[in-house]
Amino acid sequence: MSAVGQERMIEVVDRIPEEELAKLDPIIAKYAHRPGYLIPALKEAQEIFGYLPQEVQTRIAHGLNVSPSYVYGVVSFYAFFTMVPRGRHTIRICLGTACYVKGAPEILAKIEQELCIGVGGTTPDRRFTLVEVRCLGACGLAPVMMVGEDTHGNLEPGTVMDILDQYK
Amino acid sequence: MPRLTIDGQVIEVPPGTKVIDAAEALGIVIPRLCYHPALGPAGACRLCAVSFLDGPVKGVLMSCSIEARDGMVVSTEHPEAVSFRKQVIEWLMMNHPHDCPVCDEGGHCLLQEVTVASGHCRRRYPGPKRTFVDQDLGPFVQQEMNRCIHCWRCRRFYQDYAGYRDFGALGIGWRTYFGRATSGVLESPFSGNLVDICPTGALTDKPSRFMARRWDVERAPSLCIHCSLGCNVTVSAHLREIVQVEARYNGDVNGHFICDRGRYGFDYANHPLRPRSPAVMGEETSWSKAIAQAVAGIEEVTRAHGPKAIGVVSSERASLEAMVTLSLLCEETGWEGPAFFQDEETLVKNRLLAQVALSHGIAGLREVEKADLILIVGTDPICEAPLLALAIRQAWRRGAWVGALDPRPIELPLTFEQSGLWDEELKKALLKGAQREEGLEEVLPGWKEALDRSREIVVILGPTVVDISSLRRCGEFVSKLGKKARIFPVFRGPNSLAASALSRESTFRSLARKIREGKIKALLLVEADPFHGTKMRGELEASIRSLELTIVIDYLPSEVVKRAHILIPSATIYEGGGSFINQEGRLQRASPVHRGGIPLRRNLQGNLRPPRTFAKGPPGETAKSSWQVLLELGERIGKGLGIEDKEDIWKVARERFPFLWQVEPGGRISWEGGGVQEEAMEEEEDPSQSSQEMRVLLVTSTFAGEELSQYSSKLDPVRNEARAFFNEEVASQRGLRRGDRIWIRMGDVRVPFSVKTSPKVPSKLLILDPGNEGLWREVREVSKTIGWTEIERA
Repeated sequence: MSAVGQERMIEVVDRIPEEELAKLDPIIAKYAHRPGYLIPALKEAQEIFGYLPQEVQTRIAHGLNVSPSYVYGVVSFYAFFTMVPRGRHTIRICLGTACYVKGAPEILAKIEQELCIGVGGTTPDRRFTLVEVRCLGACGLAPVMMVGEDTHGNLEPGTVMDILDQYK
Repeated sequence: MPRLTIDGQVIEVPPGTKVIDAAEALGIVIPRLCYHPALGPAGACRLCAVSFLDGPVKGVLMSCSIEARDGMVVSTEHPEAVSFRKQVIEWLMMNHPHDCPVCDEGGHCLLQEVTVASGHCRRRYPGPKRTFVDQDLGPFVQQEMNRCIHCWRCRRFYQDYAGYRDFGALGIGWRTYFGRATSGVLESPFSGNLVDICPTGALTDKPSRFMARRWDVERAPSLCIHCSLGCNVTVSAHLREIVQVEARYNGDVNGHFICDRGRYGFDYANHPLRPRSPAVMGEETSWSKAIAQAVAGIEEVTRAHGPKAIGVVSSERASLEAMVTLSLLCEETGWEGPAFFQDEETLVKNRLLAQVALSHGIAGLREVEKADLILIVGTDPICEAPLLALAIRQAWRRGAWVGALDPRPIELPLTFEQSGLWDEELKKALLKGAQREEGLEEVLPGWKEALDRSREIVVILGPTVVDISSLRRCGEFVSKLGKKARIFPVFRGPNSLAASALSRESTFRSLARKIREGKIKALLLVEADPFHGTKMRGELEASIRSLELTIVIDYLPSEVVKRAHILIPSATIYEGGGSFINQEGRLQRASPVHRGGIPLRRNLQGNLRPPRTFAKGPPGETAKSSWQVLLELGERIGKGLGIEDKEDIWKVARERFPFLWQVEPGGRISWEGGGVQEEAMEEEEDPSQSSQEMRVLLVTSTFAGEELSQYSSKLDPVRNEARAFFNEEVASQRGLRRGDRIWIRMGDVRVPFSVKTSPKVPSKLLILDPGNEGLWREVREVSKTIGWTEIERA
């Protein structure tokens, strides 16, 4: 919930200023009093801020007429929502069964070593955030990872860093 | 009707019964954590696994989720099922902190029980445990998430059953967290039920935290007397102190739950200023001296002015035993009274309501839950009888339509139609309804359609905000609806029905009139405080002051107790027990819980030490109930009633008041006699018709305004401030907004209020909720109308 050790290295503002929060207003206007549209609203909000801090959640809760606890419940349920700021590119490395047996742990170890961060961590230059996921539904290409919106398959420890080099 | 075999025994159960319930009917209790009869199955804990050996399904399956079907052969003791359950326990205990020695749930913990039963005693997994950071959930519920086993009972109760949204499930998988978005006070007035419903120590009772181990407390079945519903509770006492009240299951009345007012309102019995010793003119004295003084005083007044110079006052919170003794004593001695109600209007309204309800078929909470059309007239369920709101919600969840005719901005955990009618308008609407039952459609859209498809109608009717003729109209209206309609009366006190049945013509107002005329010289007040909620404080003070003798028998540190010439303390329901008749006419009995006395814990804190004198009983013990004191008084003035104990009272009462006692405890009375005079009360002219002034309606809220819970310190943190409800338009014309602070001048006193606005409030009405009653100590007379000149911004 709160920023842990390594996130502290990134410059994080304590509170989101009011004028930044006002960017939410078009989203709220679009979905006002329609509790069923909570997930699209949160998704769009995360696209603006990169993450979903408490103030953003509360504002959306009031706008869509749902309780803040409900919004928090949804945000904490789905792995794609985050409450801590992430890097420019999120590396989602699949640790599902197929990827696991095809060598995903070695890929993960290589990335961790090269970027000097653990799972859930963000590089000090805010370039990458590393997270693990269970299955990306591309088991035929195992081991698989996603970087941002792109999916990369048939990974090998030797070449994985070349892929990451494409992302600045 | 499916027939199935469980552990070699055959049973036939109604269709839809779960296997876990079918087994329970046979006396086989399958272990469970997430399953609760009121909440249904969740299949979350996996503990109720049994082996289905033959029939439509086979294998180890969850008995809470599977409906009994023909030909099933179930074994609860099959080795496969037993070993499955054993492993489930081991998994559940893997992350458990094993802190039973400091856990308040210890001793009545379901998880502890099943763990011991399974034989699990060694944690084999050496890895680190999952841990959470706890939240502060307010003054009632203590959270300790590490003990949670994810049964989902709390969320299912809080959101599904009770309908509040601020507490719920957060996160996913083994990190699921039951709490709020941020720390804060739980919004639901039913939050205390989380404590009862949690099968582990994850949610425990905060006020009684670390006060006693379960096996050390004195416990007894009792009743909640904080409203007229008569919910059943279990009370725990420890070291002369009431420490906890829990809901006690009674399928006919409250079901599994109670509200927070009933759960945390008990603290009046531990009040530091509670009268513990008899006193004459404010000086503590012995029992025998106080009684002798009272007898001498009564005899003197009788000699000088006759028996009619002694007025007797009691209230709706007195037990049936006290009421009966008092009625008999008045008959025997010729004293004036007893008066149970404040004024004639209240008496007639209560009587009329009881009559109307009993003659149309009275409804209780169970009937409300089964109804498909509920009309609320002049009642704010959450404020007046909180658990009623929960019952209405259950009906609503099954598809019932709910409508309300009340000027207050009612809040209920469900969707309903409300029309803020009051007085003339309400009368007109009800008249229209009585002439043509679909006439209500104009004020409550959807009424007609709901009426057409309805089978069971319940009309919830309260006497506080509607007047006599509206009550009568409502009776006519309900009889028009025919046999499928019942009336659910909501009274003010726990024994109002009995009080209206036993009342003669006397009311406190009529006695006060006689005091002013000089006809009454002495007053005997039994568990009554006329100052509570009074609108005529000045008049009342003058009347009490002019009396030659005031004898008060009570257990509250009330205002009238402070003015008593002779004070005799009485026992609360926790020390003396008692019988009460609830709003549906159900006679129920409470057992004494403990002997009473000054709580020991207060000595340990160093303040208010009990007297260091030699005595047989514990210090401050008040073993006598008010009816015992009354019998003693009667005996001493030579008017003995020939009653020795409770059994005698019940025997005499059965002969004298057969309508109250024709049932055994637990049954419903049917009261035919005691008809209401048909002549209309003189109706006061509406003073606001011609002027610019607003009429004042005084109301109470859930945690402020009820007499006993007023004195409970446990409820202090949740009591609301004084509020003034305005019509939204009227308020905005005057530039008032929600949350503004205002002063309202009454006589020479200014009272602070917080502004609330609602479109539901009629424009010529000002609804005042005094909140903490202390504010009213200063006001000598509450005005009937208030003009804008008397309202100023703070």
